[in-house]
Amino acid sequence: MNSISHHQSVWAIKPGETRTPGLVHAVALAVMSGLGIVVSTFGSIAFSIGFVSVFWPGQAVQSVGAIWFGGWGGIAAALFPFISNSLSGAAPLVVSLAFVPANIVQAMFAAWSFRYLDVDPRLQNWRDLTVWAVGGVLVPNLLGAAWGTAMLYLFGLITTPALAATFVGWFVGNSVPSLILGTIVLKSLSPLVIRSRAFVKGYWA
Amino acid sequence: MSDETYARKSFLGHVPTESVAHRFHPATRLAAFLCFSCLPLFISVPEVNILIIVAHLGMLRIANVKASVFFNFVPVLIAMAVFMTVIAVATASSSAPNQTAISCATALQTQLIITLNSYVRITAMFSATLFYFATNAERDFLSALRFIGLPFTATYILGLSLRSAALFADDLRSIREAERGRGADRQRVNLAKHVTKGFMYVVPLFAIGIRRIEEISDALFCRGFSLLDTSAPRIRYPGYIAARYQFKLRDTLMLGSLVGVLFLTAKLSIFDHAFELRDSPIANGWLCQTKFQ
Repeated sequence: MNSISHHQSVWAIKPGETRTPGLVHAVALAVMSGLGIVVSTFGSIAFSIGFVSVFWPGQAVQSVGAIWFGGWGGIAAALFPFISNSLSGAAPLVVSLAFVPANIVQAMFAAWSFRYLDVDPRLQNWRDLTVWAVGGVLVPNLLGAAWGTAMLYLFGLITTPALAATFVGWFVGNSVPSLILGTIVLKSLSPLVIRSRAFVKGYWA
Repeated sequence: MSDETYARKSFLGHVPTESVAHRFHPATRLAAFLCFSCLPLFISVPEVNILIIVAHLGMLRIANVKASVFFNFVPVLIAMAVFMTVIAVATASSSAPNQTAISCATALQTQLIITLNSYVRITAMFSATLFYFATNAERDFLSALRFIGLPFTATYILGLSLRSAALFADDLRSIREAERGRGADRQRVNLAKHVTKGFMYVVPLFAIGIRRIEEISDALFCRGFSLLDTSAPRIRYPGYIAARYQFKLRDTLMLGSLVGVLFLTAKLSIFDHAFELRDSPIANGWLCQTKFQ
């Protein structure tokens, strides 16, 4: 009796399958940007403590969008904070521009860790959850908080004594909502996204 | 007549349909926004930045913008001020060279004036952002980008993003109204429940978004759009919106002035060390006797 378990990776390209960037991916970029604008503006206005929010659910959109849509989600992650920061008063335009590398890292590190470690976005076991927590939330936000705090300091918008508080506020304000919201969204909606044409197995298609 | 007849719906709610700001080309307005967003970075004198803030508030009044647009952001500005002050007070004593009362008091004064400088600078940049988004709709923003040469594909995707944001905002409103229709009373829930409910609003938005991606891409495909298809023949899309705006002499003069002011300020600040905190009457006055390096 054969008892072979077949693990079909969601990231694997099936024989005969060809994937190219298309219109659906550009639309996914636009829609995720729009979603990020609304979600992050709502969070920033509701719970602002200055330049960072104690509760910024926009980071969940960044990570989840990049996991599902690869580089297109990464572009959206860099794009929507421009608008949401301006609308919520969290950061001026020039500072938002300086935050772009942080926003890209916060999104693409999650995308990379899921693909490199072959993690199922449906979070089906403890390994998937652990990689999501560490590679999808904690590490990206550590890197993003470090860069963002450094930019605020370089622009003279925070003083030296405020560095630690700003870093912790950024890290915690991003990680907590991302961990909770992102887990719920990945578990509940990934089965739907994986079957859609917009799902990106590589980084662009 | 209702407010809707006097306003177009936009980023911050409504934009006045008739405003002094609209006499300038959208590209000029965008350039003014970028210029006044960057200007405070070169100015470390709180009085000058306060003048910039007052000027923007005056321009908001002249441009026919409702005062409520500004007052909606007052809680954010107050929260920011409180946060920065608490941090400055909490860390002032640790920055004192020795832990005497006089030294700590001097360190506190120094931290407060530096904090005031940072706060006023942030608020000056924010006032420029507020003025731009309160007087320009999405169409104006996209027209400006097309005028300066941004490719049609990029502008279209950006426009789609902004439209999607408006749709999601409407969806969020519907979800909240449906919740109220089922008898939920948000005024009586505690903060933790409030936060939990905030999470639960976002999940259906994601689901709507996924469905919307497929619907919009199918609709665009049916209309023959090929945004990313490099093998398709290049089409020069007619600039209907761009044709509505004329670039006039006043725009040229305004642009020249903006560029001149920005470069002059940057040059004076970087090479001639002008607009530094030591030039501030407040910093040199009764708040702080410390000489700045």
